[in-house]
Amino acid sequence: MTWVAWRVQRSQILAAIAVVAALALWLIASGLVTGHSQTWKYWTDADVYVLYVLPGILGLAIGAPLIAGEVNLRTDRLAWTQSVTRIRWLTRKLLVSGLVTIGIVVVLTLLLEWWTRAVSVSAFTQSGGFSGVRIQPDAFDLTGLVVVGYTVFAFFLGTALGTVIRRPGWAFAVGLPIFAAVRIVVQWLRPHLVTPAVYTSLVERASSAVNNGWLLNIGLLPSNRTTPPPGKTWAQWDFSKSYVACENKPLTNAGDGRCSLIAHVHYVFQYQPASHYWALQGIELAIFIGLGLLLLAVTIIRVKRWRT
Amino acid sequence: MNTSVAAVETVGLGKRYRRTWGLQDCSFTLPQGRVAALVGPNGAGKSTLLRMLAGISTPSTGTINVLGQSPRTQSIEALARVAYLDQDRPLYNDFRVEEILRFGRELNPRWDEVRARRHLEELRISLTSRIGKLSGGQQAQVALTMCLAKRPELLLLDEPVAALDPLAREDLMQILLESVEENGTTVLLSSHAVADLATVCDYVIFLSASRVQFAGELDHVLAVHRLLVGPVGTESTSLDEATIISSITAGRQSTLLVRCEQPLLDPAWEVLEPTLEEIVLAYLRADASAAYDQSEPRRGKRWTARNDISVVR
Repeated sequence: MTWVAWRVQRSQILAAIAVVAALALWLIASGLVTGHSQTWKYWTDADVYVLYVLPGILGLAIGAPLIAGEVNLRTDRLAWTQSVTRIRWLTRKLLVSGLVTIGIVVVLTLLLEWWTRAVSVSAFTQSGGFSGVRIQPDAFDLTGLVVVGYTVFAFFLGTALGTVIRRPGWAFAVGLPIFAAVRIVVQWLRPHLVTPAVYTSLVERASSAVNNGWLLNIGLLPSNRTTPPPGKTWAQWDFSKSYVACENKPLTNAGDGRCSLIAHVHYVFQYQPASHYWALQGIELAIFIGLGLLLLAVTIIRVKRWRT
Repeated sequence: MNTSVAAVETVGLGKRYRRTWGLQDCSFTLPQGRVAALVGPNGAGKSTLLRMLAGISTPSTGTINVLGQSPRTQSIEALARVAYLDQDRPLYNDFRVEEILRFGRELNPRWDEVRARRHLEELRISLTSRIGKLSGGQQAQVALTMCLAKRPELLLLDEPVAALDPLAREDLMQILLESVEENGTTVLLSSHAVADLATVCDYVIFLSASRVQFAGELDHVLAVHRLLVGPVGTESTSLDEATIISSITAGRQSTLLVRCEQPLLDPAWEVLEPTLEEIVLAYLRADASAAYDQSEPRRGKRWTARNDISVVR
């Protein structure tokens, strides 16, 4: 049965591996070659940008034809009239292609970790590419566990859409914007998934902890207070409005630096410290895996009730 | 095998598509060990019926019993007992023939590899060929081999001979008969090639206008239908016992196909025994002309597609 599950999905899986291998080779090459020219750097950046969309595309490309591909060619009528229950058939197909897809993504993630160390990170921050600070969104989305979560979600999304739309191409096309929308919503929620840390300073200069973390907001506190206004927590406090409070003061020269100097205000930096990385990764992984399992339930119900 | 259980039993079976009925009020019983022909015009609901029996389509109304179980149960045992050949004969086109055999072997506990290989060898289909590169007839043969190697108790074949040449048709019929004799397999096959069916089938289910028009032993069906040839105008006499299925008038002679339980002893008519093909054709003709022919006055009972006549013995 495992052989069958592999054989019926072989062409999609091999095609996916070929495309990913090309991306991986480019990463390896750029990691090994030193003394990058600007053009070279742009191209390597492009490769990293592709990695942002890869979990979605890969998961959908493997998931969408899983059922829709069979239905489209009517081979569901062959497969589902053999002496094997549909659920066993579905589980085995999901396991084979799902594990291969996750494997591809894990290898690519590990490769990226190696690449980040091999390449001078500072050179890439300047070109606007990969910053290398793992808690910041650009690196957060490409490292750790979330990549697996995105892939699993996209895979189950493709499979579930395939049971509704019945055409693999359309299931893929409809899946992409849905995947992107869910990613954007979760990314928008991410700062609040773990209570952020706060650093206050008399000057507008962040600590190294802030610089190595993910800066969310900068606010200003009047007088010498370093705690949030009475009856409020930092989470309830409006960082952006605090600037206005400063600007309304009678200042001769309204610059932020001068504001703090003249009015003796505190700068408040709200940020996710690097130490929150795994907590945030874990929660985001759980969200995407949870959504994926919901879609899996939809798929199972649809396949059980499936009639031509 | 418990032979007291019918191979197929349907009661009031119906399948509704969005606006139309694909099959309506379909009730028949197919005993085990028969080779049954499912005949009827295009769109009569033959494929719909077979798909529901195979468990890949679900009825809108009525109940189905296949070998004593509902096809909905979808247990491995139930699935292993029934083989189904779809009218499109879906196969994985990028598979080699030996790979599709492995597919069958891994998914079917009762798989008969020796038989499958021997069958393909006889047909000179190379095991290393890609399915997609085979001719339509060869693909049909591979799909059929898959069904036979499963060693089912019930074989559901949707148009199995459609893509086959006359010789291959004969071979297939031979194989089916062997299978019935060796394993007691029940076969239900749909076909347009009525002439081919008559030699192997011992049971007939005739579908038309989404309904079962008759279902029963072939011998019985042949026995109750008579072809009457006589001069035009003879119709009026002594046909009260018979149901006129169709009549053709050629010059001054008219030919009637009638259904009648008692022997017809009217000397005005020359009474002939029709072939299954003639019977089926008569029903098809009646069905096709029913729309504009109904206003024509007739004496004797006039058969229409709406009268649900079930000949079950």
